[in-house]
Amino acid sequence: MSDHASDPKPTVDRRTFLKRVGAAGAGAAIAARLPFPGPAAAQDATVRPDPAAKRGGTLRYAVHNAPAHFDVHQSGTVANIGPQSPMYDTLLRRSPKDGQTIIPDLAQRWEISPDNKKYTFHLRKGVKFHDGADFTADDVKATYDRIKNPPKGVVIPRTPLFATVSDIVVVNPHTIEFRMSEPRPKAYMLGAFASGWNIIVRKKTLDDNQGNLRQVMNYPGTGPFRHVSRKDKEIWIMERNPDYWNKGLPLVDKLEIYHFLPFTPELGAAMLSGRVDYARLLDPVTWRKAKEMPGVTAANFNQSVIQAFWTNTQKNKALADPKVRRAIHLAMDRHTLVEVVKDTAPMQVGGFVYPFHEMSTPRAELEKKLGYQRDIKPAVQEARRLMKEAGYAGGLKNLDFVVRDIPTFKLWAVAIQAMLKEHLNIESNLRVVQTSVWFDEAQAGSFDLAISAIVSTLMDPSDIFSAWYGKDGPQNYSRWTNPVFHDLASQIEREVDDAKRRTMVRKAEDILENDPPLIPVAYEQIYDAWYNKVKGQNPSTFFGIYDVVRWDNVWLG
Amino acid sequence: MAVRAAEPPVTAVPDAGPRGSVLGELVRFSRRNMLAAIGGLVGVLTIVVALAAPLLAPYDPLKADFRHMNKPPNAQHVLGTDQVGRDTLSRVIYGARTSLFVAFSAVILGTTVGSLWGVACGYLRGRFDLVSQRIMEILQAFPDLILAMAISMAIGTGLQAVIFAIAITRIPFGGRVIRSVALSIREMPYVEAGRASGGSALRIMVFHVLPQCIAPYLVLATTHLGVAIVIEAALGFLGVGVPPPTPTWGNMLADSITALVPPWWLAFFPGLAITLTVLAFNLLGDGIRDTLDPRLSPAFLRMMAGGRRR
Amino acid sequence: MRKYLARRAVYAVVTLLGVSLSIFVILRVLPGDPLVAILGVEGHARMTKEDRVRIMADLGLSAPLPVQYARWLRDIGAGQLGKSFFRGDTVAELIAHRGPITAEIAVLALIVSWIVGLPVGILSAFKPNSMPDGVARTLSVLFIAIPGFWLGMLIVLALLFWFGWKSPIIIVHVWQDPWQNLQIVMGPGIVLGLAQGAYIARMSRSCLLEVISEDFVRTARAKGLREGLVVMRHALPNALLPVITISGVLLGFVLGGSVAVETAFGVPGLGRSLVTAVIERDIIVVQNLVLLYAVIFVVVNVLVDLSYAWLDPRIRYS
Repeated sequence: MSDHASDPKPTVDRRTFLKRVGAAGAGAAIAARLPFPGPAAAQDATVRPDPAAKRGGTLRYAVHNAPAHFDVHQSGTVANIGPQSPMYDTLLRRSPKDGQTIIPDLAQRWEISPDNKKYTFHLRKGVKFHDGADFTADDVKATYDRIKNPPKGVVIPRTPLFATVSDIVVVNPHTIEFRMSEPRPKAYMLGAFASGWNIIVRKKTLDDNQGNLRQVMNYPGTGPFRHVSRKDKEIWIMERNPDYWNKGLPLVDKLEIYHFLPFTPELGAAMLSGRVDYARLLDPVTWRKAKEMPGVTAANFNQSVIQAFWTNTQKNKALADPKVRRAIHLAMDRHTLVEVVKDTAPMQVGGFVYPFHEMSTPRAELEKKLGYQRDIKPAVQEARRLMKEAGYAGGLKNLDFVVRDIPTFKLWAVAIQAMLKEHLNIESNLRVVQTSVWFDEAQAGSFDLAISAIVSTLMDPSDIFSAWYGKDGPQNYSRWTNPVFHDLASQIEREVDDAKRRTMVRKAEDILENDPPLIPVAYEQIYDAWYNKVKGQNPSTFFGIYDVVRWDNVWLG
Repeated sequence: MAVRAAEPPVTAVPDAGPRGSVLGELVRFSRRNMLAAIGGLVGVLTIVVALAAPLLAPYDPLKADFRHMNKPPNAQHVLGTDQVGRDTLSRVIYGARTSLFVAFSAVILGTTVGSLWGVACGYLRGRFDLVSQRIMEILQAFPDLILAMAISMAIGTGLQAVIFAIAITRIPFGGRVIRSVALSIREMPYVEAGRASGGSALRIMVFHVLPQCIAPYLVLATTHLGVAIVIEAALGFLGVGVPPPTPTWGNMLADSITALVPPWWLAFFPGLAITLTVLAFNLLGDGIRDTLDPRLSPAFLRMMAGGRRR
Repeated sequence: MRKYLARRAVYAVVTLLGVSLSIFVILRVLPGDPLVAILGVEGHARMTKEDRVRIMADLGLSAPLPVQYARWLRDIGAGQLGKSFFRGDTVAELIAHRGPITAEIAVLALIVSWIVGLPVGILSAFKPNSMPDGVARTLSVLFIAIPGFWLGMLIVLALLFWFGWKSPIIIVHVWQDPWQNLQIVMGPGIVLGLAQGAYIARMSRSCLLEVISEDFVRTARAKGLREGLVVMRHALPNALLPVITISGVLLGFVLGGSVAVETAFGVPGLGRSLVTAVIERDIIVVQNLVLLYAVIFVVVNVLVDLSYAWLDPRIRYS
């Protein structure tokens, strides 16, 4: 069902390009590969409207739209980026054509120094914010200063991505330099700059609000749409920005963003009855129905989230033993777990890294390994052997299994509980709690097992090796450490040669398989569907739902 | 409207004569109130099912069976299975256990506390009565479900918390009704006599007033059982009741809505169980009330509506 | 009468104060952390102790309890109903936007209950123990037992399955588009109305039965007055009085029941906002909405009391 999605990139291997191009300017190289006029011309490589496009109309789009606050930088949920993104631009962006290629946005072109320690961005001229103010490098500096170094009381998940940026220097109102204390792979840094989360806001906005935009619903951006009105948990209405710097865009006049929770019957019904034109995060049943409807296109693509459960290595002696954790890891029948939620949310089997990332073990190879096979008997045998070796042949009793209150986790918890009991004689007690309580318990370590899902910003292993598996990492709820792994991870972070990096990542994967920091359950797929009159957005090759969410090049046919 | 002072209220305690007469009472009761008898029978049946759950349920309600996920009713699983292969019939049976346990506990706790409080109010009167009345009015100012939700939000969502939350919503009813009864009994000659002969207030309340309250208490308790079951189910349905994986009828209904069109057997049977049980206890309650003091009926209803008068 | 009025008013005020105090006390004890919803999962994970203290102070959660209570009352008095922790929406806006929907549901339920319940009850009373009476009583008992949210669930599923129809997704008020609005409130209103109607049918039946056997009705009959006249002028008013009383109580059922039924139908009313607020632990919203519900209930019951007292000569002329 997701085969084409496991090959995320078409023919371009942009990393190779970036490497070869070096100081000449990655932007120029990319531009040369895309079907646009050459870089030397005034025309640049950013998004351009489809010549066949019609203008006008209202796009009705359904997405989770009731965020806890309005500060996009501080957020980690689609409830913010989904509705708010159309009002803002980023320095670089992922092309809406394939969701992967990095193209210019507010930065018209850029240069990377040969030692990879200096990124220079040349900003567009004549760009205005929605309130009429001019866009300058000061706004970029203020935005990124905050992301890099949030003020007290502000917490931004993308901060670690810029940990090695030592200085942000405004050379002139339209040129800005990011100086690094240590080099990082170009793909990694460019990915960070192109992340949909890193929207550019006005310096004045940040100054006026003490660097905290949680309660500010409508702060000015430079984006293709601007705010009209909003009704909490119902609808957010936006209109075309007539002064948008990208002339000719956006193509529709109005956006009506309807609030629906993911995977719910309400969303499905709204899509099937034509109350919305584009629906995101559909449940599989609706999606299958939509696929069969004439006049509707359905797509599925990968999400940047892992569904997993954590084992408390600090509080539970048995779980501290890597053999026990590997045994639990092997006792999971992952294909059945995906089956169990098949009517609720779309999932795919995967290991410790995104199964569709080019550096990870390819799926075909993964499914030959113990723990990922369809026939679980060999894995269970090995698991039992490990438990015996560790001294727990009789199993474990009374594990406190904390479950986040969402239908998928509740179903999985029951299934996992059954698998643990049947295969390893591990008895656990389920405790379902609200999301906020789950994170309290996880942080405080008051659990033996705990199931939830976590996000990463990039697909790149270095992001997850520090965010998910880093020593004392904020999402490392198991409190897991493995010095060999952490060492390897820092090397991987610095390695710029792709082939070497890939080998190191595989080695890291092996370490994780044998000493699991968490027990992977599945990786999410996103199901979108839209009526064929909506053109210009086909997320089949996208990664995650956070980067290509601006709707500027979408039109209604 | 209140019980006329001249005549002592009918007591509920059947003749403590030869054994046959209790059975005889029951038979006579049944003949006069067919519906109530049926209700009582179904109610007893449900209680038996709940108590004998481990014996009656064909499968472990918590056991997932991955080979039979989402199966409609068939020979192997009479009421079908849910998304992880748990047997619906077994879960409904165990659901009876939880729902009835919660409902009975809550009603007994709440009605007893309320009734004792009511006796004290009615007999002692004065400032205690005045303050208590206001407190009960405050409790009754909240719609049942909302009060239960707020309380369980505060004290958590375990089994005890839900029982406690529902019990609190039942207190004012007991308080009001039993208070009225106590008020009228207070004026009775034999109670006056007891006071005159120097009995302490406590003694009089326990030995003279309390016994007369048993009948109304029973009526109250049975009438509120149905309400308690529905509140518990509603709490479960909204996701603020007894937490999973303990099967309760309300939980099961909420869990069934996980797909665009949920499997009908998951949405139907738990609700049917609730309806039949509540129906049974309501009919039983009606019959008991009609029998114990028919004069109390419409007046009783009015009193339930918030006896603001004496 | 005047003394009664005064006394009742004082009691009402005391009750309301007590209500507000109870709500406040109940809701200040809670596990769970609203800060997760505010900061997002990742943000909360990376928060330090100092951050936490600062944010709690910002939101007013760190002042001592009596101060918080006093501030709350002062705010309400000033018409400031507070803001949600999340998204900064004010509770006043929430009530203004969603309140009418829930109010309409309540009114619709009331109308349905009277239209369905009264005729059934009256008919039953005039032909007691006949077949139609049996049917009516069975149906009443049935509708009291069926949980409203279950019935709602089944109706939604049936409509979705057979007609592919789901109610409109955003709030449309009755003054904007009556037909859309009706589609939104119809389901919950009818379901709640049927349950209420069952109570009213039973109530009016038993009250009427009581009255019909009363002397004055017999006398009227003996005088040869037509049956209909007897009903209209003598029996009905006596049946109506308790029905009015019980409608006040039933309002409580509707307010409480609408919470679950709105959720079952997916209607964006105030009840659903309350459920969401409880689950998200949005204290201010829960506090103020529960207070609102209680206030409405108290006010309605006081009005019912007053009308009852006005109609009862014993009190009116005391």
